Amino acid sequence: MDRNYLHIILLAVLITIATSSLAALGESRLDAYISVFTLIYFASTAIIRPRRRTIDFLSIALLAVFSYIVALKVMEVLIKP
Amino acid sequence: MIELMSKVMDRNISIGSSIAVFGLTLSLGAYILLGNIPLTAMGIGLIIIGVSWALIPPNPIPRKAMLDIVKSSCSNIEAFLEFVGATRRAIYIPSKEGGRVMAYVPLKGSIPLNAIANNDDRMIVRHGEGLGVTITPPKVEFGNPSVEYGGSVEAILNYVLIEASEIAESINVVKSEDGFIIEIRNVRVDIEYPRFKVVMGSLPSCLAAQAIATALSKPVQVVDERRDGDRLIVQLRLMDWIETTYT
Repeated sequence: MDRNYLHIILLAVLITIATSSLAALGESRLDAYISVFTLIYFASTAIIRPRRRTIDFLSIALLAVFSYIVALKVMEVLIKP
Repeated sequence: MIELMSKVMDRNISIGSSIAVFGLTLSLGAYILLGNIPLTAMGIGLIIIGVSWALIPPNPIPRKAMLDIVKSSCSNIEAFLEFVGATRRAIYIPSKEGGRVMAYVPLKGSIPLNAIANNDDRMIVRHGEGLGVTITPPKVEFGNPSVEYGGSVEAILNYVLIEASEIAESINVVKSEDGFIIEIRNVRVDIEYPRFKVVMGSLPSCLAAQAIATALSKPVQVVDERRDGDRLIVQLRLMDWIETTYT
């Protein structure tokens, strides 16, 4: 099978499993979902290594969002009295 | 306008952007109207899948058509090798300016490799008693791999055999005394021309030899190759410019 489409299928399966699992656990923070999606994306991309037509700006966007979420959490811990 | 759009947008972009737009609508709707976080997350997941799909490059030539072209070009080389009666292993010689690699097929006697490189693109190479022919082997355009991949042979072969040509699934490279031993797993494309295989090596070996010759600017010869299950083990020999073809 073409590895580009294999990547899409893997991504769809893992995202569906992650979303349903977190929802079943009663997770209500959107940042938790986005962090898991980011990890799924980077892990599946590293394993399957799909070809890209341009630079992978999705990786850049997900990394930026993930960094923002982590920064907020760090700030929360540091500012906490 | 529609014609221009259809030229710019291929199938992957249209499917990917449709999924991404649907995901965006779902996530905004679920967040603003329903306040449902799992559904919002599902929408974001769809955006990721859609954008990822849109980033897949188009295949301008169907895979089967491309393979047929490669095989038919190899059949011409096979016929030519039969015609000249070539039986000795070819040597992949990079041009001194870089970029192109020619396969020198020795026919009679021995010729210094330097003389072959200075043959000015002529097909027949004659030097003293020595006689041979240079042919253009089937190749994948890989630019200047030594610059792009920092000179790492494994990274170069990874790009040429897996990323660019998708000819194999994985490779392992080990440095040997006089060259490299490459283990290529799950070869997807190969040819069944006996003379071509004897002289030029199998298709993956042929591409690997060219990539290494270009990267290291040295002549390379496929010394040996054997199959072991789904593995193809290739032994490549790096040659010096002062060597002759008989060594």
